[in-house]
Amino acid sequence: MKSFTLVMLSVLTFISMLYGLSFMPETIGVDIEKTQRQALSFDIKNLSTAVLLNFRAYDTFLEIGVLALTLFGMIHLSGDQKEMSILSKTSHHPILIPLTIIICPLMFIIGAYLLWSGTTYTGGAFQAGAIWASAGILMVKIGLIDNIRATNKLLIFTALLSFLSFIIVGVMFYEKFTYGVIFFLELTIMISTGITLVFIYALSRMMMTKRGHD
Amino acid sequence: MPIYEVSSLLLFCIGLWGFFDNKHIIKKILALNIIGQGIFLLLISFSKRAAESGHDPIPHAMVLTGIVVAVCATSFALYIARRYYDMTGHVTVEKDGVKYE
Repeated sequence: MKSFTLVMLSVLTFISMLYGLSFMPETIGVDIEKTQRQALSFDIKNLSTAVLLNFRAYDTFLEIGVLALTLFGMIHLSGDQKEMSILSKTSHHPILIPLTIIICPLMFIIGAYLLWSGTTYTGGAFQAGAIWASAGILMVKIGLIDNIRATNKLLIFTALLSFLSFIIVGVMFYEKFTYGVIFFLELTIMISTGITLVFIYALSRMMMTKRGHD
Repeated sequence: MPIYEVSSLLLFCIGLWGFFDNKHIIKKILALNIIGQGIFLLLISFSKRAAESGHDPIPHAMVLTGIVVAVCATSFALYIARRYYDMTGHVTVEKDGVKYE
């Protein structure tokens, strides 16, 4: 009975939202050409990159903040396993090890290309960081990276690097966000995103090692 | 019929139903993610309403931001769920054997 009520409520929500959608205007008066002109004056040819790092840079800034907040929340929750290492749980799979060794350099190159192509095509720091992080996770799995601890100061600093550089850039280059400044920001975002994601994976892996199952 | 808008609303409502109908914490997190994907698809479909030439880059950028925030929130929620399971041995939210629904 409860399930049926929930289904009916969902269907009702769908119908009412569909009805609301019919009141949406067909076109919205946004001056894209003006945005385009402004973006081109900053040497950026991709509009989404321009929006993310020029016009709505606060979004990106707080997005990095959320990423850092997640990491600190996890470190705080990890409790008594802060000093734990992930060394004891490496995989010795006969296919995973050679595959990682072959594929990781390629993934690093693709990540760097995505970062560079963000100026003109679709791409950018977060995508590049995600690809670098997946390479890092593979390396953690086979034991190439084995010294991640929740109390490692250098790792925490690297995870915070993009947040700090965003503040510095915001204070020093407030008036002129040139190509070099934006590229520097994207580079630090890529490094921080990659390190943070690998860190998060390693933290959850430590928890599983403690319980004794993979 | 605007197919992207309708399918995004459909995703949203499927997620809503899944969220309220399941008691398992992981299923609730998955349902929240489905709701999020519905909203992202809706924003993307709005970006083409902007003008005759090209797309509106602002909803596009908002979705890019939203994806990263959704990934962060999901990973944190999964971590908390895992800690909860470690401490109590339950996969649903309950206290003294009474399930909270």
